[in-house]
Amino acid sequence: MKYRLAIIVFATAIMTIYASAAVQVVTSTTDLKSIAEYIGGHQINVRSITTGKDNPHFVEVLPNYMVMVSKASLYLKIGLGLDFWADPIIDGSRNGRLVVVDCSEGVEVLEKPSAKVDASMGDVHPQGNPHYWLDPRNGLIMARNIETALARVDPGNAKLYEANLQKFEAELGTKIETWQKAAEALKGLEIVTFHNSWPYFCKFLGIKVAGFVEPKPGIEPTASHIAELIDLMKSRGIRIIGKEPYYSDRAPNMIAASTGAKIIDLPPSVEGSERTETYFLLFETLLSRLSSAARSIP
Amino acid sequence: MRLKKILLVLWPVLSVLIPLRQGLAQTTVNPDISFIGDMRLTGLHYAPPAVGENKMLFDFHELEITAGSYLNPYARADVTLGIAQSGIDIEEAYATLLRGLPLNLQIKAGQYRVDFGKLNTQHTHQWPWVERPLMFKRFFGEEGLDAAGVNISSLVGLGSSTLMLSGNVFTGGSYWGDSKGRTPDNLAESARISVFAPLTNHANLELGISGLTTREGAAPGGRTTMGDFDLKYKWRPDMYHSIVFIAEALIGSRLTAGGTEALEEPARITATGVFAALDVQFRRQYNAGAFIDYCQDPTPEKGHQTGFGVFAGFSLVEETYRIGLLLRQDQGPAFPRPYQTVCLQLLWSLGPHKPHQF
Repeated sequence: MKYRLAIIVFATAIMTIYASAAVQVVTSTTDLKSIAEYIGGHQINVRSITTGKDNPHFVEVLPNYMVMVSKASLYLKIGLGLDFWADPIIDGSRNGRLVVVDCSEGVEVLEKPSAKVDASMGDVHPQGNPHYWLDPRNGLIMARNIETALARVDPGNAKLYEANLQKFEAELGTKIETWQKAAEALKGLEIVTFHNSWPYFCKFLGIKVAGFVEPKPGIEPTASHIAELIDLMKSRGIRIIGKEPYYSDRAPNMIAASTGAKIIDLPPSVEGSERTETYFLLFETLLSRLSSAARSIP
Repeated sequence: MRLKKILLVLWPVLSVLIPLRQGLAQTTVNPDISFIGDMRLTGLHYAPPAVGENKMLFDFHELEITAGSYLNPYARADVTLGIAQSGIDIEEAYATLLRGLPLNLQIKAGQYRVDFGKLNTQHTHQWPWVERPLMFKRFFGEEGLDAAGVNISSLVGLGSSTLMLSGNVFTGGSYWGDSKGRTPDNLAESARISVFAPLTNHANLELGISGLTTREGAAPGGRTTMGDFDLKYKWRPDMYHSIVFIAEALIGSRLTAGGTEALEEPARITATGVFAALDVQFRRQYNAGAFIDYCQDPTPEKGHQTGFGVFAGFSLVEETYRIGLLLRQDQGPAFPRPYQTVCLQLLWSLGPHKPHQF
């Protein structure tokens, strides 16, 4: 009798531990992590390979990333060729039960090449520009993809994920309207950015990127290109240079010194700088920095 | 019950083999194909005839062709061919069972670079010091240790660190500088244990220890054992700067059977080799560094060679086009006086570039 009781208690304890074990999720970037945490709540434990301060185009394949993925049930990718480094990490994890989800599914991709792409164009992504998370309307699509993936790996909590998705959609929907109203004042603004990370963000706000500090994606600035960019900025009165925090200040400083432009740090990912701890805060901060820079232009 | 047990044991194997069979019919997508060209302008100064001619020579050193892709959701295959003036060499051609095996195992089978030490697994185009370290050339031949066999590896998380375990059984290595001494009839076994530890957000350290044993091919009845210790430290605070320090030491011992011209009686010969390099990257496109390369001759005569040098490089665009300059001096009892090497190297890579593993 004593033994039976002990077995029942032990089995119940094991089942309780098993039932309460959080679903392990690994994401390529902190943007996916932030959305997944909202949808998954306490039912999931999410870790991101890159930090918000890393350049997501260049990630070294480290063994501890492989161990991280070996314990996961779900891997969330940005896709469109941005996180191509995730494949050797996933392969190295040896995880046979891992579900890998490309969160770009359903997104309207910008700058999809219509002709053959080669390396003479720089580091162009053949499937189109991969920085789609920077349009919050795509955040809704990403959230739906994440909810579907979580329901697949953890069907027991599918209703909870669905409820969290609805909350996320409602909250983000409201914020999108607020941000669009706030961006009215920015409509038609022209800026220069370091890398071509911002077509989705600019489309959302109705602003225009007139040029890039990089002559071609992934290519270091050259003296002749900087001179051309300075001429362009002077002729069109462009006074804002947006720079991702992981790029060097050197070329933007030279351009700013010649044009009187203001350099603003634009973190393209969650946790890329202060007050960007969540997907919502990222847009609040980007909008606030851009608006205050625009206001400071004489 | 018995049937259940058998199924339980066979399941991991079947889970791999069934998709493999289906994969044969489904493989319609082309693999990723890359070409890596290595052209050199080399000049030697005071070098003895055995090393080379003392004049500047252009040399299209090698064209490396790599192809690789998934065979099915569980396995992939990779091929590396080296094309040089001397002919075509299958450097690597192997299939890897990536996932679905118990105990976090991964199995690789085919012709591959054996993970005896850290540097032996890498191709020379990954290094700014141009040549394979002396100890690998002397102990295993010009191309280092590549062989046909099976590798089983696993990863274990130890807090924030990672323990990597790997074992190989293979044939075809050449040992003790006997470049002709391919020994397909002798099995060799090797193992490597390494620990990868992130020290900070930007700095990582890997320490590894390897061992190898085989019956020696050159002198029947003899036996070779080797040990290797490797260390790699990398600090990369951003995409514009990095410092890499890599060091490796190898010790080899063989009990020969004797009865040869050089060695009449059975005897134990021990030889060591050491290589260390420091590579500093700055302003993203530039790098510079220095290295030291020492090796005892693994022969009864027990000579040795010491090399040291400096290098600098410029990469127009990461992993696609690199120009490197190497200045090196070598000395040893076999050379009448120290000799110098100057090498200007142009490396280019055509095709999908892949991130290198730490």
